[in-house]
Amino acid sequence: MKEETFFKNIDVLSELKLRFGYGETGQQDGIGNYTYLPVYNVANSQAQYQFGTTFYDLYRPDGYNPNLKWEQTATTNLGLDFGFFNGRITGAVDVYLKKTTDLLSVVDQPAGTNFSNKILANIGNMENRGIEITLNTQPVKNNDLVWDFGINATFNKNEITKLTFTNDPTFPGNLIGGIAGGVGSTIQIHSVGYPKSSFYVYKQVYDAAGKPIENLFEDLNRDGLINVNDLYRYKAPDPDVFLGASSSVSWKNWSAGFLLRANLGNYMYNNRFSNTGVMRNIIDPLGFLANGSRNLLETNFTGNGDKYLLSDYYVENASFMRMDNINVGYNAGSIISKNTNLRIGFNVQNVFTITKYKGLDPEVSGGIDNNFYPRPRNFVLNLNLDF
Amino acid sequence: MKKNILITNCVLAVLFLVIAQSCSKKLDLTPTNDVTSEIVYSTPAGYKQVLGKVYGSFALTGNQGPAGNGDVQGIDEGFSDFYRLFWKAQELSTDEAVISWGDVGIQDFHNMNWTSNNSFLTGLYYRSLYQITLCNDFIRESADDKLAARGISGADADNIRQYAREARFLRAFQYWVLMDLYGNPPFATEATIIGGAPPPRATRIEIFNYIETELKDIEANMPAARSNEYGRADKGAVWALLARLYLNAQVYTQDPVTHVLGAPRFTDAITYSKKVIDAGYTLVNNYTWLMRADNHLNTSEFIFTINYDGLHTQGYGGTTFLTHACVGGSMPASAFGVGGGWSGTRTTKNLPLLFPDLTGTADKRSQFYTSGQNIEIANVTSFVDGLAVTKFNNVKRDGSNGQSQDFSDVDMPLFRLAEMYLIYAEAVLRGGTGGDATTALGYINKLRGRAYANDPNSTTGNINSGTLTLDFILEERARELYWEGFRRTDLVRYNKFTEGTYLWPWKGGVSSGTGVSAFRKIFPIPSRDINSNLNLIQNPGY
Repeated sequence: MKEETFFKNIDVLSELKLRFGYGETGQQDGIGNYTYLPVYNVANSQAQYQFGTTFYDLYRPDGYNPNLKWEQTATTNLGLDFGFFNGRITGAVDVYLKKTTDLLSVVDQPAGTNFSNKILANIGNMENRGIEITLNTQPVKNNDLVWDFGINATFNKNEITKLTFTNDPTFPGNLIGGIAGGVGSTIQIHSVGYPKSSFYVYKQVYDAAGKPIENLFEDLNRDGLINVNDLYRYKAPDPDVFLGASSSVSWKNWSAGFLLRANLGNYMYNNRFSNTGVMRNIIDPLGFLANGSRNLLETNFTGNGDKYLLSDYYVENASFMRMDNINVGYNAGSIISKNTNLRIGFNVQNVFTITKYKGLDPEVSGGIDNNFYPRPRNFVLNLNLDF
Repeated sequence: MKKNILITNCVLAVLFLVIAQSCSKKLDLTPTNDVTSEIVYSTPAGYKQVLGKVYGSFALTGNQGPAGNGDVQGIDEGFSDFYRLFWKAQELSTDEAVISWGDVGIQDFHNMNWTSNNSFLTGLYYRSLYQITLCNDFIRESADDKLAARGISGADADNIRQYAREARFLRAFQYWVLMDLYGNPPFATEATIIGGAPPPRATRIEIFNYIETELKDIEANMPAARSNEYGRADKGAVWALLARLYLNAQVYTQDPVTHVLGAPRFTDAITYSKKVIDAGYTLVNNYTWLMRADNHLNTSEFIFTINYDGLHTQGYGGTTFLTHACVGGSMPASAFGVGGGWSGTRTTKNLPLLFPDLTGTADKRSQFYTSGQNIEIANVTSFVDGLAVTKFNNVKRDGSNGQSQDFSDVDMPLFRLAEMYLIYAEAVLRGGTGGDATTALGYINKLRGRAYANDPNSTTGNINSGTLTLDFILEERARELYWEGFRRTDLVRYNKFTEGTYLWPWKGGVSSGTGVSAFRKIFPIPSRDINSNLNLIQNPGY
């Protein structure tokens, strides 16, 4: 576009390109072999059954889904690439729409319709809409000093547009996201009109001091009962905004850089707090002590009943800003002999994280924080000698 | 250099060849290692192995004993065992049992405040419907056209048709469980397609009628009572389930809106309990032999059993749960045939106080461990509060231990003769015809004679006709059948389950006991299935 007559005379503009793309991709993550037809498995010799005096090896049918197919995503995007001042400032703006059909998810099967009560199925359609902005600049460039600085931002909105299970408007959605604690409990839901994996929780009632009152929830449908009809959709684990910034500077033989990243609007179910931060977990009725979460000191929950696990109190804002990497390097040059070269570098990974999230790490994929293995902070000193 | 290109080309050619060969011409592939239904059902022996799973689903939690490849997903495998869950729902909710553990939702049974999220109620529901799904599949695969297509005929085909009738019995039994506990479950039959539309909901009355019709339909062609292989159902089992169904018929066919009881069927209860009694069953002489490691010898009394085995049928449910969870405190585990107790289950004082003494001196059914145990329960979660029950032991009649210290050999009778005697007597007292009070008294005194003198024909411990009242029957059922999964059903039939007129320690979560809302006479449909099957309607109150 830069060559077009109306842009040709604008000198500061060094590059301008308009892009339009359309593509379809398929994915089959999680689809095992032969899950579309009935397969039988033989039980092991500790799982036999006795008729008369004989123990029989058993054949068990596996659950299967005769209608299983790939998940498909059609992506449409419109992009504009630009450059100013001879490429000192370059960037791109992309608007995209991703339509996913036959979304794959492991969901409950109606009891009595399969040999497994949870099956991977194509549950519906989903849309992702968003804008991606990238900007790379080189504010300084001369013989001694070069500074590159770039930022990027993505605004994404995710929404389930259709569930194939039923068109019934009263259908709340497919429950997913198993949690530790209540055996078999789920904390998330795929619902039409909401982001995927939205948290599906009870609305916690707090006392005057702001402390959650155990097993007291708002009766959202005002029918005098607290039951599953009072669950509501509260936030989702996927961020609304991704931000990133990177910088690198080199001055003579020195170089330095960092990588900064932030996610905004992502929420997390703190399963560590809900599962271990109750009295019942710490003083086990069998008479031994177990490690518990310090969250107990805030809630004083006894852990009786099975509803407190589904409280929105445990869904926390997990927005964060993280310094992924920071590094400094020095090229000492040929210090031993003519053909050698020594480079010294120091870099730190996972430098710091700023977040309001109270758990161990605000970045756990899936949005359920349970026994997350802590990310290490690495300090690396490099000495490279070329000869 | 030229040589190198040649080598490269050769390698590429070989690679291409390998890739080309690994593709199959067919688009629809079938497994090479796993077994498809066509292979499984190609021989009569294969049918029997599937039948093994249809039955084995009672005793096992998965395909890998004791655990590791569960049948039911989304639930801890140990929590997905049929009898363990059935027992908790039927016993922990009553005066007969408390448990010290803290698993989420387990105390809700005794506190009587369970919800539709309860893990144990969810597990039992999925387990029962899982077994029904297996039965449905087996019945489908045993249809005449399928047998003909597979070239199975003659005696082999007759055997398989018999297996299918047994699958219909097991299905009827599980529908009885669902009807008794959950009221109005989904209704899946062999016509329900795997992976297809959700099954419709059936009301309690519809399920009642279905069970009755199914059992009467298979009755004539089932093997004679006491003639089938040990562990498989026969006419005796069919009659026994009908007798139990009819005894509770008024509750099961109660009007869901007005709560007016349904039509009494006590005459039918007498008819079918009498059929069992007259089929030649006799009581085992020693009551304490009933729930022992070699209780497969009790075939004269046991009508239908779930078979467990310490070496071949391992799991963390069933009698392994019953024999381990009851051991704790100062109880020497080895004396009870287990490697270590799980310090869980005890009883409230209501049960032991029904006996003349706590040591089994007079009534030998009184099997309690008292040393270091308090009869009063200050704290439900403390094992030493409440007497321990020693009815279930992984020890043989001769005192030697079962095969394994970790997994029980004790088989669990789902039906035994004593229950039939009690049904007969209660049905006579409740006005059923076709039986008489003298016979009823005679049956009860057989239980008493065995209890007091290890001899059903002894007159020791016998009662007279004046003592034989409905209230006495309920107490006698507790003395004879405690911890065998009857109590909740019995208390509901006697209007003592939720009512404030009969209390036990910590009933409704209060130390002295309190009544709870009547809607708790049935459990809620688990919310997970309400969410997956829009045909279902939650039971009132939940």
